[in-house]
Amino acid sequence: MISRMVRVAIALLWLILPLGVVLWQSTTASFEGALSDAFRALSGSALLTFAVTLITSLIVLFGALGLARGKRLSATWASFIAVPHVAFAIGLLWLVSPSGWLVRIVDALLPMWQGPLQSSWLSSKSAFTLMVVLVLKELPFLILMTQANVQQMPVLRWQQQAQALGYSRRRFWWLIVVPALLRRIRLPLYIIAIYTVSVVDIPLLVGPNAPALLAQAVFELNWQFTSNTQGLVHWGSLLLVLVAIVTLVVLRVVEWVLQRWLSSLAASGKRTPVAQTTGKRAGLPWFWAGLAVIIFMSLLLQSVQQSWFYPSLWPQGWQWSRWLAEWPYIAPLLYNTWILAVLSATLAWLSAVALLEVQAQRQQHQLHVGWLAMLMVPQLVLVLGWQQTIGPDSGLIGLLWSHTVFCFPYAYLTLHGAYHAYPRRWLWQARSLGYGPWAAWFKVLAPMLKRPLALAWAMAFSISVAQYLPTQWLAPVTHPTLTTEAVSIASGGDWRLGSVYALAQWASVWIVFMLALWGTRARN
Amino acid sequence: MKRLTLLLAVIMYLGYVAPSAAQQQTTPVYFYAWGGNPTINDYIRWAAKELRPQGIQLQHVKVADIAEVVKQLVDGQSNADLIWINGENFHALKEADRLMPILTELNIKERLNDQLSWQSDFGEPVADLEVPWGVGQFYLLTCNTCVAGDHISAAELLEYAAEHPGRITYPKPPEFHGTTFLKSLLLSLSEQDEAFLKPVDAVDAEKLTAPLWTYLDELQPLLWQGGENYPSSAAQQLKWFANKQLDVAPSFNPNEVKTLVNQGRVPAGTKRITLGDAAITNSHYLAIPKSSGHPQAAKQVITFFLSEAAQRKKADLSGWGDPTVLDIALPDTPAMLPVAAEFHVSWQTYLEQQWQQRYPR
Amino acid sequence: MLEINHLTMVFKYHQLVIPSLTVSAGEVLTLTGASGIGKSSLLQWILGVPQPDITIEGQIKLNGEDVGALPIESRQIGLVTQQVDLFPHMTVEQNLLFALATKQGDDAARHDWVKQELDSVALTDYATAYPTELSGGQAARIALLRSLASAPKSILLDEPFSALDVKLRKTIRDFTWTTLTAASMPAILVTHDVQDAPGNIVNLEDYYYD
Repeated sequence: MISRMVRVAIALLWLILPLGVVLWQSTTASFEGALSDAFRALSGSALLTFAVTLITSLIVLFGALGLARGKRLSATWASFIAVPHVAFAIGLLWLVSPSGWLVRIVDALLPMWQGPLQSSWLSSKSAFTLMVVLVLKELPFLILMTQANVQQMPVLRWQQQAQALGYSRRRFWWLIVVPALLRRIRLPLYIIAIYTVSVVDIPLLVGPNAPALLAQAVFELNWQFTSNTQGLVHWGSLLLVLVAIVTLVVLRVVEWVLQRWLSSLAASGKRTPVAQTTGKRAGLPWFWAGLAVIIFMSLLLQSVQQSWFYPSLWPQGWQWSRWLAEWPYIAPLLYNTWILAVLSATLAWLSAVALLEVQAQRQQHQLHVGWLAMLMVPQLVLVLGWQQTIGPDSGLIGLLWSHTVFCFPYAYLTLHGAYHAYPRRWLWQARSLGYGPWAAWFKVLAPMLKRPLALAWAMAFSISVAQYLPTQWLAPVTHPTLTTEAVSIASGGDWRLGSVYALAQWASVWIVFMLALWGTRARN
Repeated sequence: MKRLTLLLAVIMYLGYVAPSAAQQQTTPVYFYAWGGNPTINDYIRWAAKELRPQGIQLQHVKVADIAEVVKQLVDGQSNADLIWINGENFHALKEADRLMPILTELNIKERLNDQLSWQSDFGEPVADLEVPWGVGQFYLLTCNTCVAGDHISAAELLEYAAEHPGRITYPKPPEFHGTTFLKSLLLSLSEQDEAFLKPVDAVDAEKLTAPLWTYLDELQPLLWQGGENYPSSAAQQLKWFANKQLDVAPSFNPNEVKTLVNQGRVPAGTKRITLGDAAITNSHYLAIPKSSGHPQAAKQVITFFLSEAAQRKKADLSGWGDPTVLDIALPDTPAMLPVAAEFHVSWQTYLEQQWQQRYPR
Repeated sequence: MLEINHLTMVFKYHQLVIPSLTVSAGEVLTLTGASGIGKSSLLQWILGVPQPDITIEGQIKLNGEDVGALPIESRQIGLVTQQVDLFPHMTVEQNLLFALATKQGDDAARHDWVKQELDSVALTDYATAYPTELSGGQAARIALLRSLASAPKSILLDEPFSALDVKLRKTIRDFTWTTLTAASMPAILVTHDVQDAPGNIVNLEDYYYD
């Protein structure tokens, strides 16, 4: 009985009500303006979004499948995933843009060549740059999910079998493990695809704008005040859902084709000479760590520079006081961001733990995809519906609700594996000693699962910090956060100031992750 | 564990109580203003500090495009007390009758410099509904060695682009620098300047703008990235200009050529040139919506902004450098550029729509 | 005395129907049967763990009282498992105190009791050690002591010796029966190895239906 109440309450709060509001809004929305107008205006964006999402997702998929073979990425590297997107984009662009640091090094080394790069694929604003940023940001997430899934399979035993049959380790991986993995990482891959379809803040900073990505175009249209743009906004969000569905279908087809191809290869029995294959290829933890360090340095230098024009390798002037001068303005944003993140992370975490406990008691160990529904709808469509219901300036409660709706599925996803792998025996033992269910949970389960529990909270916290669209559309005036400020400053072009905010944003997330890891470190 | 939760609860309570306690004594004024320029933001912060002793908490609500506030006001859903507008945004609000008449009440008219033709905002009479705050003149920043002289005609710009492909671009309309770039080109290409002062419907717009589209068709492949992408803002273009990826950057602040060098945002050796013989000149204004929650305080803010001290600080070349609207002499500021009248407000939307239909393909 | 009456367990592919099982104080009843027949499930049901996949009907009486409606923590039935299950985040001492916490007595008395128990198995030096530092045999002894520390009225043993090596098995077995006899409570043992059984054996296959 309690279990049903818990599940109904959680579903109502974080799934049914939010989704219901959006559906109701969409049925009563005004679809002014002909579909043909909307199509003409937005079809370029829609096609671009589809292409970018598909390509990014496929690169991330194959990258993860290939790279997950090696050493396990530990939780410390996992905190790299938590680099907020804005910080990542600004820091990365400083390195690789046509007048960026790498080009300046080349310029310094080759006296004959006069930069900066005239036409470059990695220009400061292009679809290619956008894809590079997205791939680098999303690949570690999928690698981690893939490795978590690999852990659950008896891969070592299979490998021994395959090697006994004469297959090299690499061939074994692709013919035996990958087909088993494909089905399991379908969900994380879809989550990444939906996120890419709907992301707004990264395209704003580094994406193309002629045509712009669909989510970004709809986002900008929503600021306009002529009535036909409102019709465009509604058609645009429908189009976004369509692009999302089509992308998922295509990804499914790709998976199917891949399965068929791999199984036909396996049936052919072809082996490669064992000597040809190399040893383990690590998940490249050093690459991600190195990248994080470089981006951090880049942001730090940018934030204290006075002027740093091409082609100098080092800032020409310093302004150390920028941090101090900016502090009175950062402080309220820091407060806003933290309050929002702490509250929404806690709510999301409590819901996820309650849900998992209830499921474990009923011995339902499968991941119920339904709870992740809010990650499968493009965020823009959801926030648009909410904005039209509660207005563009609704205050903390509405904003908190919207953040929790997105933090909850991540908390659930992150915690699910460890929670259900936990043998319930421990709890029976404590209860047989006379402790009630709550006491047993607090004294036995919580201490034993403290690291996964802490990391799930830290993850929910970082999701809230990184939210851009909900804050921007629901409470930009009453509750601006570090993220909205960083994007608005960075898109204004002053990356010196933007780096300050991006670093503050990153530091918040990093501190929480480090606290979670340090506070739950093993005894010995 | 219990102590930790208690501590957390205490912190959160204090966190909630403290800011609201601090805010008890002052009246907030929500000032919706473009936030894309850090020096302007710094000026507004200075103003906020100056207004504190008067019991006013000036909150700068940074918007990427003031159009979003116009939309909110027209819909009737906004908490804006004070807005920074001009042109089509003013026109829309005036039509929707959302602005409070304030100009006469504030007794500022006598101190204003009438030579600036501030009484007409993009051809639309101000009608007591807004107060001029500063002056904008459209021009291009370029490097000393790139272009000779102090102006460049549209034809010369095309030649330059042909010789240096990929070095010229403009912000994507409807960003206001981009649209004004189109207007300047149009003025330079056309003989009939007066026609643009009239509403779009009153003249043969197609015929008048035909040379512009022909010109842009020629120009497009020579632009940065072949016209496939455009900077999304003037500030973004400025950054690339400063890092030598581009040879021009637009600006509306005639003194920016000095202020930017002072702030280290462009290298020394940058100069200003007008596109065409004269610079499109307009004023920008402050207005109070009828739905404002704190109109008295907002009026106080306007009075402050129009005070001599505030206007001097605004024109100060080490900060914003925006020319003053008051009839006072400021010796250190550079001369204004030759003035070309701003188009009628209806041209803004017309040009934006036409451009968006044609480019990019 | 522990009585199970009118027990039916409906599994996915088979049923068990047991009219009556009785275990008197000090007696150890052994349950054997093929893998998957339901020995562990039966133990878990007696303990009070919900079994959602199995339909179970039956009556459990402990010392005359019907405990079927009580939750696990109120039944006062102890559990010793194959995996030993000493809580890894507590020391040996803390594990024992944890089991003892629901009893009365002040701190000093409880610590003394723990010391006494550890003395009785010659593991006094391991009071502040963590379970991972113990050998299989040491852990098994402490696990039994812990289960008895909460003064249960009955005790269930789910293959407690399976993880021990052959030499150790006999020692621990003897230790277990000696301790249990001294405690004088009914016990049910589930095992694969019939040699473990000190008393009556019930083979669940006799109660097996399709």
